[in-house]
Amino acid sequence: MTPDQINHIAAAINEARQKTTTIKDAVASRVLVILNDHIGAELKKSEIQAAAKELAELQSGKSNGL
Amino acid sequence: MNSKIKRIGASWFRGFSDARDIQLSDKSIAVYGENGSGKSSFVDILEYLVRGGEIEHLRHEYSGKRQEKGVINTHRPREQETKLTVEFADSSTITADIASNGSCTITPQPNDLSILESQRVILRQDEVADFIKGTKGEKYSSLLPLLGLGSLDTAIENLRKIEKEVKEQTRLDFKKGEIRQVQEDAKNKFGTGEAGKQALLDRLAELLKKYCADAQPSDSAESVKAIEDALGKKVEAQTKEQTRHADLLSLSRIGLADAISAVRSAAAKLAKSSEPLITEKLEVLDKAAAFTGKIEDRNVQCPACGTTVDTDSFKKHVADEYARLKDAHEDFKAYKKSVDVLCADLTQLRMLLAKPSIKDWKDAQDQSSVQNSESLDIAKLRADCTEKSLKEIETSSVPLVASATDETKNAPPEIKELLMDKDDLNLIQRFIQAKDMNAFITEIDTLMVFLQEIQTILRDKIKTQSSMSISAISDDIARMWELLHPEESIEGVNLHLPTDQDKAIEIYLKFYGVDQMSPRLTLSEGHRNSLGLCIFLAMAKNVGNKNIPIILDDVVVSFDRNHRGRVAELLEKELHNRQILLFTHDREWFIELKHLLDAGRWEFKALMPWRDPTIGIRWSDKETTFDDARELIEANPSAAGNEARKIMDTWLPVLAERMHLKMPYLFREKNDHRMAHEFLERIISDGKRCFVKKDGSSYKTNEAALQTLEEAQKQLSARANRASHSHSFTKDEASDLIARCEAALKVFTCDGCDMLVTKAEDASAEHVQCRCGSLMWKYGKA
Repeated sequence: MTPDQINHIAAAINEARQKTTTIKDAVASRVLVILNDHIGAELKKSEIQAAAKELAELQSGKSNGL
Repeated sequence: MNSKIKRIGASWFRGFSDARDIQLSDKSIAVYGENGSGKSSFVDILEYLVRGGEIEHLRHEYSGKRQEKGVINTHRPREQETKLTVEFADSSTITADIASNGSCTITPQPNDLSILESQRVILRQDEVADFIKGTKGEKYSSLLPLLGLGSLDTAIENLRKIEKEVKEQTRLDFKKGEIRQVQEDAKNKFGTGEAGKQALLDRLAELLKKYCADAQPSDSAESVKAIEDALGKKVEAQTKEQTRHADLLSLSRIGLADAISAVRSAAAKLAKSSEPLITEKLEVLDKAAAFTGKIEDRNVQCPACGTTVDTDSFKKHVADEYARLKDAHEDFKAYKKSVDVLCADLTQLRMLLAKPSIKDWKDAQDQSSVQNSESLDIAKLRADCTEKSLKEIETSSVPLVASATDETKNAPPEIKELLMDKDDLNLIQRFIQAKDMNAFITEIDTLMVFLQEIQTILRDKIKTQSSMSISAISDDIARMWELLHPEESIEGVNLHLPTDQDKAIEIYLKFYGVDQMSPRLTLSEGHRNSLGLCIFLAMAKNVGNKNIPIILDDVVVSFDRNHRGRVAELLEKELHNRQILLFTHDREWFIELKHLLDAGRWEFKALMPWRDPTIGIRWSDKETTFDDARELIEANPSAAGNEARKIMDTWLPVLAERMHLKMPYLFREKNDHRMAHEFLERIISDGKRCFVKKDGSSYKTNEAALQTLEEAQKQLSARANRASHSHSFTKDEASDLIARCEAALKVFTCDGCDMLVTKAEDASAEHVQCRCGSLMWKYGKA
């Protein structure tokens, strides 16, 4: 992973955050971590499922309401 | 960081047996080896390390889970290990140890090599052609990693998948449908807008007052809960008769007849189509949509329906078909929903039939109807709801509902009222829950919008970055193309990002002044491949770290002699600062490269022909490739002799050209088919005046060299000219011929500076010479 790629992704998340004002900080931070942990690598099915569950819970505040 | 490679080595990997390596000492290298000699095994080492234990061309079902069947030498002795090493000029080293099951330990983590991966600095023969043949989308996918933007594209793909998964996990569409249904039901019961909402709250207050006047709930949800508890207690306190009436009333309210009618109505809409057909057609259309990206002809036959249409119409045609089938698909979903409702009604009927409170009523019914209703396979009905099944339900279950309706005509009003209150409470409860659900949906929608927004921003970023890079690269592509194809009327070669497509890159050019949207329209295969090479080299030159090496594996196979020769010029002019690892099986080109490339920056090595897996890859200690011939002596001396002749036939025309040798004109193509002994004859003849060697401060005719050449010439004329192909060699004769030929070629290399006599040219003095000037060919004296 190169600093350039990380910067591009971080900048994109920040910009999206400005536009989507109601997104929770925890979600934005988590998306950054997930993408940076997998720079250049496609997520596996199980990782996608875990990421989707986690993000939905963080944003909705519901841990069992999915 | 200096990423120039100093050494590449391996043992028992691919074609390697015992440890072998290439020592580069920062220089570029040209490696010759006939097919199967192991050239690509060196490239495989780099690719294996770069990709963290994987080689693209071994990605198939036969290579094993970790490619162990292809990566490890098939004859590796048990006690031996498969190891790879790459050493860089800055003394950093990357090694890999590969276990028998293919698992590998790469030490350290290949950070240095990941730079190679991000730029795709390895170009193999098949990739040159594949790139040009690819669609706009495939070109985009190939070039994006070269531009260092592949990881952003992967991030977009990851986000898209997460977004899709969020939608599925949260059952977003289903929940939205539920909310719509509750709102519809509430509207029908209580009216619309604020008035409807107030009516609903009034009804809740009324129920609260009616069933639990003492309760003091803090909100609507607590009110519902209090009423629900009170109603539960009231039901528990009912007499047997009251319970019987309540259960029969519930049964009588099952809308079976309506449900059957809804299924029939939905089925009618699908009379001309069926789900498998729709699905199949959608799949065909998916392929057709992908196909529209590839088509370049003006007319095309639709793969979905066979109609011949022009390209633009075809694209519209595919879009229209999509819309039409999507409508049909909606009909199908409506049909499925109606079947679901019918199944839910039948399940409720079965549950009520099992209640002891209505046993006497059930016993009085037609028993075959009861039995059919109780034993109906609802799962089967859900999967395959036929008209026959519907008729069976009509004859068995619907009469039971009708009978219950008759039975409950005289039910006590308080029971009817209780059921109505329960229904209203249920609706109010669903309405309140929908409010919570709506809040949840709003949050999930926000998440979806956020994920989509990041994708859009990254996509824009890719577009801007790639547009800038492509513009710079296009200049280099055009210049490189001009070097390879001077005075050819193919100009303005450049990469282009179509504005109307998201993931696409195409190559534009002018062919004799006419704009061409794709090189596939007018360029020959050889020209297309040379264009592919230009694009790759321009990318490697422009993008990222300029210190990393470029690896070219047999990339000029389809080039003719002229264009192949210009590749050396291109490498010298455009990439002289880069380390290049060049592998070729083309002996003639290898010999040309030896003359054309700067020996100060380039090394030349030849691989021995392959013998077997236990012997593995072997270096020849000679660059003249005569070891190819020597390998044949034992098994086939005649073939060895002919191989020696072929080597001379390849070497001497190249030397002759550089030495400006004047050969007599032959009729047409015979000029190109001269044999080695003809060149030798002329070199010997001219050599008495032209071939000189420094002796103190003066030059003298190189008598020793001429004598060596004469001996070789005699042997070639006698044994290996074209007329003597049938000559049978003994082993000694073949060895002798090879030795004399090799000695003959050696006379053109200076003992002092180890450079060929053709290394430098002084056109004004009309001579060529080695680097130190000890050896000279004065072509002006010929």
